[in-house]
Amino acid sequence: MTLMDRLTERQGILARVQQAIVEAAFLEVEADDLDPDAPLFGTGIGLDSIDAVELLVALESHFGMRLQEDRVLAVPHLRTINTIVDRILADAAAEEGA
Amino acid sequence: MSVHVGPEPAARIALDQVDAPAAYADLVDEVSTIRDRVALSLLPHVTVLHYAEDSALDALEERVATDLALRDGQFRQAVLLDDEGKPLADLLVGYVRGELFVFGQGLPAEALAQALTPDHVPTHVHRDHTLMGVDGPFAWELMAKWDSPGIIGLPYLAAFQADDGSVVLRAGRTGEFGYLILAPDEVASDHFGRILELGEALDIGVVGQDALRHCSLENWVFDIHREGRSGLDAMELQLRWRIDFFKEEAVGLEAVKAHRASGLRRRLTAVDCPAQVSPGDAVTAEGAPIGAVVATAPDVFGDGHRVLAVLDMPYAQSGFEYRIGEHPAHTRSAPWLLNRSLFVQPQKHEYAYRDEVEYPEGYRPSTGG
Repeated sequence: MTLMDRLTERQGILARVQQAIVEAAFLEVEADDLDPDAPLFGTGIGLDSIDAVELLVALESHFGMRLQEDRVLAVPHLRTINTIVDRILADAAAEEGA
Repeated sequence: MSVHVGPEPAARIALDQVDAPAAYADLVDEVSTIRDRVALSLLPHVTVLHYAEDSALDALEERVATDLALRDGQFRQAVLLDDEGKPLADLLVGYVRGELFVFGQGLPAEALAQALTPDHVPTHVHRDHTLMGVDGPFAWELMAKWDSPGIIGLPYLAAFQADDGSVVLRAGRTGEFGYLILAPDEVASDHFGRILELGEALDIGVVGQDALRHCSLENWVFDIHREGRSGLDAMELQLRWRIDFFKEEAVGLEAVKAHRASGLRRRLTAVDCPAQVSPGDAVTAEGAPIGAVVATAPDVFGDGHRVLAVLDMPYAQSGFEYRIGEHPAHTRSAPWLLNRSLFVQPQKHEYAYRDEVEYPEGYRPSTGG
């Protein structure tokens, strides 16, 4: 894969995660307006613990991503959209390597 | 602040034409205090404005690009833009007992008041009050001792006014638990001393702006005096969450909307680099320039440097290898740290028994990695 191919792949996953968050949390914003490094919870995009549960369901449904539900705000992969994309790509790489 | 509070700093920094404590001790020690224990700081450079007139909020709404619909006791992070959509001031706007307060950085106090509300005259609260910060994974424990255990339940960006007139706001810029205390000058010195006294059991330390701003970079907390002065607009700085695109009127909103409609051209991105680099240094991909360094900070607990760089689209993404000069540069997701505060539970833990805090496998609490 060329650098541009990999950039395009990541951008595509990022766009799907942005859309999944908008739908899971019923956000009244354009998906593209969710900045990839903005915090998801508390400050930034401002999701709460109820949104977090919906987000977990959406991530599992869209990407097969399974995360522990207890203390979800402390899950490192749920801090930003970028950290979610990191996890999705890491899972995919692990699956390919298995 | 008109009274002398706290120890004499070893270094000072001018922010918005006000001298603020920059450092009291070594940077590593002060960062450790923030990351591991409890840090107390003085924030004389932050302008605090109070508006008595109800119409002031409407005036603010016309200037500030953020949605300011707020409940009493609630604050919101907001931004004042210039006509080009670049940030002029970093704001916390909110109500305490029905009274409108603005905490602001980025412009000297008079200029900020004029830029925010040219037709209203606010009270410059900072002139006879002292603003202090309490930050760290055990900041809540200290605040519970200083005020009452109920403060543990204070939500993020919520505020209340104490009987002596002090305003307490749960807010921070380090990624750890954080509180701001706005104390009338006549009680500020007593509060500062009492917090230090109570904090002894939590190994409290007094820290300056160098360590606080270092932590803000590590946690991707916007700094108006750093990346906010890089010439980037709110879209490029990843500050869209502070912009209300449904608003029809605010300074700079037209420019931001135009940028949004034409597509993002470049974006601030987190980068790891093993070598020290400088703002302005070029970032390249496959030999071609794709951006430039905006700000850097050393990893004080490890090797290498944390870099904020502005990269062209589509290169401004996490997980790619570029170069800064001769050095490898790896883009990454922000923030750099997995803060200890994410794992400390006020209902369950306390500093004296901090070894009982459970961390993920492989986590090194002292470094946040």
